[in-house]
Amino acid sequence: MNKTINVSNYFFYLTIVFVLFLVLAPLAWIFLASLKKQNEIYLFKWFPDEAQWINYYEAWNTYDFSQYFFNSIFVTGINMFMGAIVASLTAFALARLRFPGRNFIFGLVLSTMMLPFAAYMIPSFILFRWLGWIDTYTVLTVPFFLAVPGFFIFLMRQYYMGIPKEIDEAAKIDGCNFFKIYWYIALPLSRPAFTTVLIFIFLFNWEDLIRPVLFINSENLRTLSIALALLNETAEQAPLHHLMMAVTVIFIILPILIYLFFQKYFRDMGQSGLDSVSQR
Amino acid sequence: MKTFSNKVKRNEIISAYIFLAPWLIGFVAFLAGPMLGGITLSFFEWNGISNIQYNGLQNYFKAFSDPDFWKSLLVTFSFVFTALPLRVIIALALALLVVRIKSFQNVISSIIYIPAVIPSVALALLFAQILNPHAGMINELLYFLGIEGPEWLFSEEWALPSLVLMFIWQSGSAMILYIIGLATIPKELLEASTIDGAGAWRKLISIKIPLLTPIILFNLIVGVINNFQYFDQVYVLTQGGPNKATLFYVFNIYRTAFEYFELGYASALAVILSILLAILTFMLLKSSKTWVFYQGG
Repeated sequence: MNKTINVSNYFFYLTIVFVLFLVLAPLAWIFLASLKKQNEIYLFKWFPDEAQWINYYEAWNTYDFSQYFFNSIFVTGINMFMGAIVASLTAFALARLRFPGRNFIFGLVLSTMMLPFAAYMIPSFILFRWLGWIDTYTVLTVPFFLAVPGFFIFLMRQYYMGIPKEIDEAAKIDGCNFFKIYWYIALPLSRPAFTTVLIFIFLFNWEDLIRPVLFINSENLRTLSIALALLNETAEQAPLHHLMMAVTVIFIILPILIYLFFQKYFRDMGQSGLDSVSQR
Repeated sequence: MKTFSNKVKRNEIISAYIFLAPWLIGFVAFLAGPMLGGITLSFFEWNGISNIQYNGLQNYFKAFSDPDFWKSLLVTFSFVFTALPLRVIIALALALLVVRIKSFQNVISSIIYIPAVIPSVALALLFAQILNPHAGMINELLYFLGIEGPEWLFSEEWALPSLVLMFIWQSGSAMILYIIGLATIPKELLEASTIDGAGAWRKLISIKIPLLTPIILFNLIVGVINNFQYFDQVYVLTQGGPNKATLFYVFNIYRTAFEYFELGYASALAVILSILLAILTFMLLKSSKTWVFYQGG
């Protein structure tokens, strides 16, 4: 009886190790590739002879990567905070205030969760062209955070509904209007949900490709995602793969770090059983 | 009659709409408006610059006789209905595996989750290197084993499977859902079944999987909606090729609108997509009545 358990345990451990290898090997590979010399990339070896940390410095200065990095950070940052604010404002009204049309508007919020971007990307392009927003930071930020995806509103609303109403009432007695209740009570209390929303808006925007593809033409407004995508196209002619690998590592290290640092929020999302944003 | 409570109520309503104003403006201007604009545009023909021409349902008829339309449907369907079930199976298997490991369970599940946070463009570039027919990790390994590896993203038969491979590499996010789901299964149920003589396999089939079906359903619905719009990797790696083997639906819309400048036709394709997604979601939900078991009735 004991022997059987040992064998099956071995089997499980072995499989887990194999799975971990499958997960980590590509990541390790790309990290090592980023430290290789230009001619080493296409050789059948894992480790570079000498770690070329200078690749990172070179990559930063070639191709305007510092600009692309800034663009990604800037756009993502604005969308994170503005998006979370708009989501929480909307959610607060839906959760705490009574007004005609409340259910209808909540229905609208839910319906946006099912709306494919493809359904409105073409008219959006026409609209932005008419507004003169093409090739601006505005086009990558305002439409996103004003029409913030309904899922985030839903999340925050759930959280607000969990705050006891007595707090509101006590505040009202003290003469607070709704804005004060929102700003001084509801918002600070919703920190977990707010953080979760920040994280997932970050992930979404950081990797977003289709919006820059559609709405940005000029090189100096490119985000990292599209910069890398376009670089791949030219990579056949100008094989600066080692630099590309370095930039890719920079590109992925940020989401990975955020994940590792904020793991709890990812698990909580899974727990709510309702997340459509951490799922691919 | 203007009473105090009336005034308070009105104040609440006005405040509410002030809170809602930003999102409502955004919704109307950037979601509903364009959506309606898209539907309208689908009945016209326009290249974005010169005259708009009304042509009724022509674009829809054009779609049905367009081989690219059907090809893109085929490609997208094949991808979604291969990759999603595979992911469910793999994520479930991983979850069952991981919960058995007592020590380091959190570390292990965290590591397996990491691929899911890798940005799509990075994922594409990463696998472009790994699946490189001549110098990539996988073909190198196969060569070592005496097998000649395929051309992967450059071959018609293997391009789509390559994308499926990329997709399931990111199964960690689904795995977490199943791990949490498994934890919600009442222990008494499993213990009772042990007493009744159920082995591990039986427990899996008769208890664990049925009780996980809500999560599976959710996984499938979200997965269908998200992955029917699969775009990024196609744009970066294959541009629809080789020979339209990876001509995904949204990529086709993109190309039709922004490379062929057929905005009306592309809008019609987009409308068809929305309808299709609605139908698929509805069908999934309808079918769920037969195979999804909810705990607590």
